[in-house]
Amino acid sequence: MRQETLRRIISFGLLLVLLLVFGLTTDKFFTANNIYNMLRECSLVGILAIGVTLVIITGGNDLSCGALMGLSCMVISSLLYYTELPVGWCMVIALAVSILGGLLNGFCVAILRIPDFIATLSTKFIFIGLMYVVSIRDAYGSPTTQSIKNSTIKWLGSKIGSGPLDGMYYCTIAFIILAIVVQFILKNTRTGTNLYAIGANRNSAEISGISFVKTKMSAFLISAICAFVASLFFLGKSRAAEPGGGVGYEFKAISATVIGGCAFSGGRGDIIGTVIGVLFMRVLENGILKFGFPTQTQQLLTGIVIVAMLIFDAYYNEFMVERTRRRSARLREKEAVK
Amino acid sequence: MSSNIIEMKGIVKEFSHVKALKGVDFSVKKGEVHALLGENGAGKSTLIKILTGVYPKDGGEIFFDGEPVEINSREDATRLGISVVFQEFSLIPTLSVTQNIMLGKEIHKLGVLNKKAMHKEIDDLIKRFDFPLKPDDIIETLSVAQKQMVEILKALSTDARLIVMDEPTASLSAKESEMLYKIIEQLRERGVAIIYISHRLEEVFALSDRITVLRDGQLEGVVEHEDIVPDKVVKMMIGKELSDATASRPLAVSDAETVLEVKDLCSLGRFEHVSFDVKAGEVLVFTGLVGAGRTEVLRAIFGADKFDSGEILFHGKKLPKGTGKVIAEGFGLVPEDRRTQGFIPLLSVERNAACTNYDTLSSGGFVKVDKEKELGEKAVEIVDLRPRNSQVIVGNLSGGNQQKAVLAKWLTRDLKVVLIDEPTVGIDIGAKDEIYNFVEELAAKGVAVILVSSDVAEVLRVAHRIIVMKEGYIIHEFNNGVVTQEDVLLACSGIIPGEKEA
Amino acid sequence: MKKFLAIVLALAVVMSLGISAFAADKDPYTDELRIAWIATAATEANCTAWGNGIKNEAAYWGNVTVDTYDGEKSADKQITLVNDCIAQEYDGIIIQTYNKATLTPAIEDAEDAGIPVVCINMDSDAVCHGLVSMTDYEAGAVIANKIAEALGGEGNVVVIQATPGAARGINLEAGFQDALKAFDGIKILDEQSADWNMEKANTTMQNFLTSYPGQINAVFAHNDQMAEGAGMACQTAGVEGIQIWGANGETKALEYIEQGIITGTVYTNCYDQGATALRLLMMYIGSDVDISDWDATPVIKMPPITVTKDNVDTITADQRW
Repeated sequence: MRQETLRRIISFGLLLVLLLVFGLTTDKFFTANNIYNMLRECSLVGILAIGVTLVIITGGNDLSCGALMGLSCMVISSLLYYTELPVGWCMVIALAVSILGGLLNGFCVAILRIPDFIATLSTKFIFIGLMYVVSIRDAYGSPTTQSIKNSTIKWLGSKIGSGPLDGMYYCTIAFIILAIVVQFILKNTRTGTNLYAIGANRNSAEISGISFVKTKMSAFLISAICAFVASLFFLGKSRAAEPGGGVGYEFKAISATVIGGCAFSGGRGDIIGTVIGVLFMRVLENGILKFGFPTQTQQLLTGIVIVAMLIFDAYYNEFMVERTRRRSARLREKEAVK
Repeated sequence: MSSNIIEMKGIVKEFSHVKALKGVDFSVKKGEVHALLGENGAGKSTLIKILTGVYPKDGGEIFFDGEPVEINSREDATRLGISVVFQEFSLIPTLSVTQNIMLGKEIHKLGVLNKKAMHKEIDDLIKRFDFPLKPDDIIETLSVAQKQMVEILKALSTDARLIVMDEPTASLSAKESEMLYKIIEQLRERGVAIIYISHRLEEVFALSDRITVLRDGQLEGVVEHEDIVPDKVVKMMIGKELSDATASRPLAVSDAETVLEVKDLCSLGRFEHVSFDVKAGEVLVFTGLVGAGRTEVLRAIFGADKFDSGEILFHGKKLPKGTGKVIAEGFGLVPEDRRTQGFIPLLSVERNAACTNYDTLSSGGFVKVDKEKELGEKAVEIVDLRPRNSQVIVGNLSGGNQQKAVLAKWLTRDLKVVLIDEPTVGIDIGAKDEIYNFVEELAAKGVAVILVSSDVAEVLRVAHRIIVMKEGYIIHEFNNGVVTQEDVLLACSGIIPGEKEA
Repeated sequence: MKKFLAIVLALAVVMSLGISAFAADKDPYTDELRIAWIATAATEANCTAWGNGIKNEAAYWGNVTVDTYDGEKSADKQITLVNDCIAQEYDGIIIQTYNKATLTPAIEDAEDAGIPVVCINMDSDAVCHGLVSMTDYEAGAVIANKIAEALGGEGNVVVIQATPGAARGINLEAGFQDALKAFDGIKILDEQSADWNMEKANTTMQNFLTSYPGQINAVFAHNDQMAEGAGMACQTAGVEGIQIWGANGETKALEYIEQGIITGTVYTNCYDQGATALRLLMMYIGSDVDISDWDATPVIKMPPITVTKDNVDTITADQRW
């Protein structure tokens, strides 16, 4: 069985086990309210994780997406506070900022050839710094947070009020649409194939005429756009941008992709896996509250699961290589006997 | 129009002032299977890399289908219709057969793939050749032979008119090789020219329409299929004016004490039923083709790899397992791949030498720095390292001096058995001689030496006895009498002297 | 793709099974009640003290369970926790908000869902059932006066501020600044945030001491921890005679006052404060109080005690937290 298939079964199984355990042991878990609430919270991480998945498939990593999301929030919030610009224009400017951020990541990684980890760690700090620079100031000049009264922003944080999906938040809908779109991109477009090819075997991909620079760039660009989309709903949720907000989300997103089957070595993983990973982490977080464990238990369990997954990846590969070797040897022996 | 698909004239290539190719002419006719033969270092792979745009040439001309062409990159080569089926596969392991073959030339509309059309195209392609493949198979689930078929299909899908196969059968089973031969026949019928590189002389003789033999970066001759006489071709590879030192060598079994005895050692898929012994002061050489299992045997003895069954006896007692314990018994290993296994490039010669000597250098976990320094000086002295400085970083040394630094790790110890794997690959001639001298000195001191080498001249230069391995088995031992380069070379391809007349 | 749709479908089915009934009004004296206490950081002295105050009070009631949640010093985490509490239909929420603005929608949502919210010390821009606060504006003013008095109306002050956006910090600052207006001779040299944090305040103070050598006469830190950090920085640097004031009155600060490392603080009994918050919340549960037409959150201010070396012994061990 392929590593991917087995991983999918394991991560999906873990999610089901969690759902069962929490569903059976705690009341008010499978209520519409709780489910929509869980989905709402995981949608933000999910949207970011979709972008990160693409970057990880190319064999890279994006540590800056959380900070970029925070920066985009801050740009919108400051523009609304200090200028009379309509909210649409504020968003366009924030999108432009995010795209520039993505291009910066791509530039560092693809053109300057700085390792992803270091490059995006550095840009993360750049984005955090910029967040403070563009933040709203109080009367004494120190950064502060101001509630946004804008109705569009309020709408982004709200839920559907009627119909079959009554109670589902708009961010969840955005997450689902984005997941479907990006999964389609991965599996059915040239860009998607190129991402896998560059991640799994860069040399031969380049020989086939695939541009490393373009592919990496597009991965970081999509990741940045995901950060922008997430920022809209992040802002809708808290209706204010705090300096330093969003930082730390990147680790949730990366964890989700790893649980979902992405390999840091590249070439593996997809959005379905990432969605499972995101749901898993969120269900764990929500369910743990019920048991009265300290919230850090969630981190502990998430950590254990991730380590287990990584161990599985490492040993499964080794195991498969060994098995193939033995199989072909037996085949040869049989031939020799004949 | 020319009858030659490719014609290379006077190709010259230099690597840091060493001429790898000294004006080689090479041409392949349309639709023929053309074998390229030569010993290691004869310039085969350099020539192919120039042809496929991996290396730029330093002189000469290339004509494709009669037209002069410049091939500056792999893309240029592909555009012309030159494809390579590599020894190491260049496929994307996590993508499907279809995705791999269509990579970079997908059927699409605005970037959205037409999966159906692609699937059909690949399905047709596979059916045309009747390969045991499905378009949706993921590469990493395929066998080596199947991967090779995908590579061939990939080459064909770019309308390749010339396919280079570099050691295509090296990791195939006999049955899989048969399948490949059939595929080559099919390709020939379709008018695709093939450049075939292989160390397996038998298959080369059987398959090829013509053979070009290279030696020392020069064209030695072109042989037509009708004129192929194995002995003659081998002679061409080895060269006529052989120096006495390496043309032949008298062998003899010494009567010294047996140090190491290996009994029926098996490791499934690596080597089978390997038995031999080494005596004190003896140089036992393992030769054979790449992938014959020689390195694996060395690693198993040294405790670096596990084995399935069999016994390793050291002075009649079972050798403990694990590299640390084996080293403590007085063993040393000079591995094939110096850069990754032989030394730590960022550390100095002194530190590298100290790595194998911490048992005597440290007490209570602390290294005695003065002793370490002493050792460094001694190491430099023993191997005559240039520059004579134990503080120099090993990664910055030349190939020959790097190998000396590796030897120094072991020569500073009191050795009983030393395992040496391809010691002179990528080393200039002067340093080679020095390394042979070390081997001889070691043997003279009574150390049992097991040396793996694919270089026939080297084998005959140092061997007291020779063991030939093929596909994991010991197929022949040269113990007594005079042995020539031809004997060894033929034995490596499975043609055993004495048996060939029979 | 099929699998993904299957997951969505499965979730949809599950959702349709668990149709939530609107919680009926509860009797605060007999029904089992679940209260969530969401601290900014469960491990800090004031949060622990409030939590203990809340739990002790809950024990008197008998029918109340209190679940403590850790905001992990993140407004975003607190939003998640509030949303979780809403979804899981808690009967009341006591929260110390980490950010005044960002928590607003979440607290509005809780109130909209019929869950009364009482804030401790720090609230949001949303109108909720109550805020039980230490004095902040007044405390700031008291400290300003005390400093001015000690300096004789002449001197330079530095301020180590709360995390930007924290309501309590803003109010303390406002009270402090407004009171200082009466003293022309006192100048604020510099203001820096140290995120409520002792180590950060220590660094900040060191920076102040190097930037303004010999010029600083007094320090006002928005909480005790930062005052302690500043005190340690002065002690390490060998600088004496600087007035260092904090606010809150935690045990360690009181000890530091006894030892003379810091000058004074405004003490509040946090056990009482926590208990008051729960009592206020219990008053609302099951009541028909409608807050929808309220303009502002009602505030209960805990009585402040200005503590210096002279009166620190009047805070007895059982009142220390």
